[in-house]
Amino acid sequence: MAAQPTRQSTEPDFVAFDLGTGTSRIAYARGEGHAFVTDLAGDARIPSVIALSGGGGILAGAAARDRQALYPQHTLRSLRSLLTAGPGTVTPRGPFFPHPVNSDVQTMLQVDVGERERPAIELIALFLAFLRRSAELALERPVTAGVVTVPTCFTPFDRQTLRVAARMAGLERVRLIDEPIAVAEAWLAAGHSGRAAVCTWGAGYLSAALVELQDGFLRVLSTAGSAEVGGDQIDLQLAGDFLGKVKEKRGQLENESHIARYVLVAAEKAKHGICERGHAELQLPIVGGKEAVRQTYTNEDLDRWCESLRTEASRVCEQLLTDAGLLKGDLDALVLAGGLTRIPALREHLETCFGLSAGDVPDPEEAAVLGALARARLLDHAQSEPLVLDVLPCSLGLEAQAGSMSPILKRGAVIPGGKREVFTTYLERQTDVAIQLFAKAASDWAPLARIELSQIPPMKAGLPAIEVSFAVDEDGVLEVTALETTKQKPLGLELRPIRGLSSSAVRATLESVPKVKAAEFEEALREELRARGRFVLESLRELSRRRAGIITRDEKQLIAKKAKELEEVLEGADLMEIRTCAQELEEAARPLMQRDLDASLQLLLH
Amino acid sequence: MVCGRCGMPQPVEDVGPFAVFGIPPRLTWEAAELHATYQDLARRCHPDLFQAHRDERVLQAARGAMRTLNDAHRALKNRVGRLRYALSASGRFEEPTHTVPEGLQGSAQIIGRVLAAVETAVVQGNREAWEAQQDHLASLEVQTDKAEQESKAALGRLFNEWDDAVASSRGEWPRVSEGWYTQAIRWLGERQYLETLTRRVRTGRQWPGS
Repeated sequence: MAAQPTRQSTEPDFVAFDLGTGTSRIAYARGEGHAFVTDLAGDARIPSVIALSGGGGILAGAAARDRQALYPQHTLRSLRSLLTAGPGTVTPRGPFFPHPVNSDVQTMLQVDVGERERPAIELIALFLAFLRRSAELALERPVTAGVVTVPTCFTPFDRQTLRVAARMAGLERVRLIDEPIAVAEAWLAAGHSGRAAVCTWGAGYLSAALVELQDGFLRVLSTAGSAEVGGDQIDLQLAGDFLGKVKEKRGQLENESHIARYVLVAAEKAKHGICERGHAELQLPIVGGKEAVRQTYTNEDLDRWCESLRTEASRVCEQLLTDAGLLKGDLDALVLAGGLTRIPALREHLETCFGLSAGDVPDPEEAAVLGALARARLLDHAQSEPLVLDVLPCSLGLEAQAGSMSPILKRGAVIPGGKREVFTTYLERQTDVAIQLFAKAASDWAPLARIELSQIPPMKAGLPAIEVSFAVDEDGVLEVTALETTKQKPLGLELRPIRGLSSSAVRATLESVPKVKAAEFEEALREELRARGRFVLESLRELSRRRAGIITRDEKQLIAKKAKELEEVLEGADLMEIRTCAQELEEAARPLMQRDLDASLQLLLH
Repeated sequence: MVCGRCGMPQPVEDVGPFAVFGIPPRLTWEAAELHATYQDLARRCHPDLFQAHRDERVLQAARGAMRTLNDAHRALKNRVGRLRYALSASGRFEEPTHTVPEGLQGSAQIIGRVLAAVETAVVQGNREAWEAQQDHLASLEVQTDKAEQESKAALGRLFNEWDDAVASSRGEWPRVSEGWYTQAIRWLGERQYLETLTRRVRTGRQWPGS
């Protein structure tokens, strides 16, 4: 038996980042247990929202979310879905996506936000940097390694983009983990076993996998997923319907994008309301003497908007079973996670698709980050099982003669995996060859990337033996290299994906950009903390004025002292100091806040 | 792939799947034998064991070793894969086409009609029409099982001939008769037909949602 790999250090290195479309979470190991990174209000749910001002100010998380209706043009929601979106996806959202996009650039969405055009990767990187620094503040140590969740439908190049964004954000080591695989790990960690279907369904994506635990390996039997079928789609439908009603009553709106954002935020809440109570009312209050607009939405409406989501879910379930060569009856458990699986109609639909009732996960919203943390522990050698045997999410193929497709690697092949193909030239002394690479994630092949080979030694047509190696790593990222084998000469190669970064752009970004951007990321976090700090200050000042009658002298003095301390450090550079002072201030004010709440409740009750 | 002394993954050369598993190129293997070796090697070169390693090259080597292992396992883990590998490593592989096995040639049309009727009934949600076909489907299942058995026996004969050649090849790549290659490709084509058929019959026996 070989020696076991030695442990690198006693400190856990990897932190778990569940980068969600709507909400993100960060978890880290604390002793045998775990802890979440929370904001100053103690909330572990970090909205995946970022706000950029023209002057270079950046807000992220709750601070950005809370201001989105004020600055819709400057505030981007559902950041992650920008990676799989194109101009054709976001433009139809009209007033709900009030950011001009550059439709000349087809390989990655370029969004004008904060009066400056930025590629999607940079926006994701800014947000990831915010998450990373938040983790550093909570852990009080540098965080440079992370396990980051990813939707199953991300192509090898989407995964690449996400990984480069993480590197730009200061994560030197990144391991991507498919969301349903993360949930499966959380499910296993909770002591379950057997063969399970796992679905995660959130604001942006539906991701699913069939898994089983076998001899300490987490075997992935098949995966499938879909983009543009999440909670965002329901919110947009609901908000679109209501905005239509508003326009009917008030005519053309002057500040449409502000109202649209207000309505979108309200729609999200109404969706939850319908799930809980069967109905919810959306209303736009009286503004500038114009009449209020009200509309009640019910389960029936929700059901109608879920229709296309259900159709897509059926397809995904069918594909999972077919790919794994299994029937419904072969499964032991169904595990559901993500906010959308709380909608009864969708939950029941998935249960019907798999012929099972959904089992328990400790918390369906925390499962993904806890599973990512289980993986982080494994990477840190704090636990030795399960080792995951993950699979390729889409078949890769090349166009053969007569337009038929010849697969290089099939969907479901265990990764890391690869294949070599041999090509030759058609022309005398030909030095360049282009190969079109295709992918099949569902039932149809679609172009994925163009491979441009150069520096082929000039030879007679058909003589060069060009060996192209396709290698998919454990994150599902594709690497392509080429060699002319008769002369053993490595060839020039440029990969140009339909969506994502070209191979030279990846190299250039990794070499130079992170250092340039580091200062900007730092400022983003400082701004966020300052904004929260100011908020704490203002709200407590207001509270001590309003509740002058119930505040004790000692309390007043302590709050004033802590407030002064916070004010002093607020504009400084030391983030730890800001965080500590803000926490101390809240601590000092907690008894007062509790009495204030009690007093308010009594007023309401009488 | 993994150093016996230090436990660190090593760069791997292209040696072919049988050598990765350290076994002669016989075609008759129990899946469990290959599986145990696969798991043993995977436990030592899985890239997740080296993600935290200071030296990025160690992670690269592990990734390469695991890729080689997975590629070899994919080539050998099932009978069809091994047959395909034997053909391509002999330079004799041709893409097979759907072929109706001899035993089913007389009833291919009836099979098509019954399956189409069952699948239409399911799509239309017509349980009565679906039930009306179940007797036909049951007899089809018997025929399919029989064809599967014949196919299995034919593969056994192909494997035996190959393995005999391996035994007498003294470590060289085995040489078999010309007929073996054409029969092997035909067998792959029949396999494709049978796989689709078996799946459709199996699915057709279950009313959706039951």
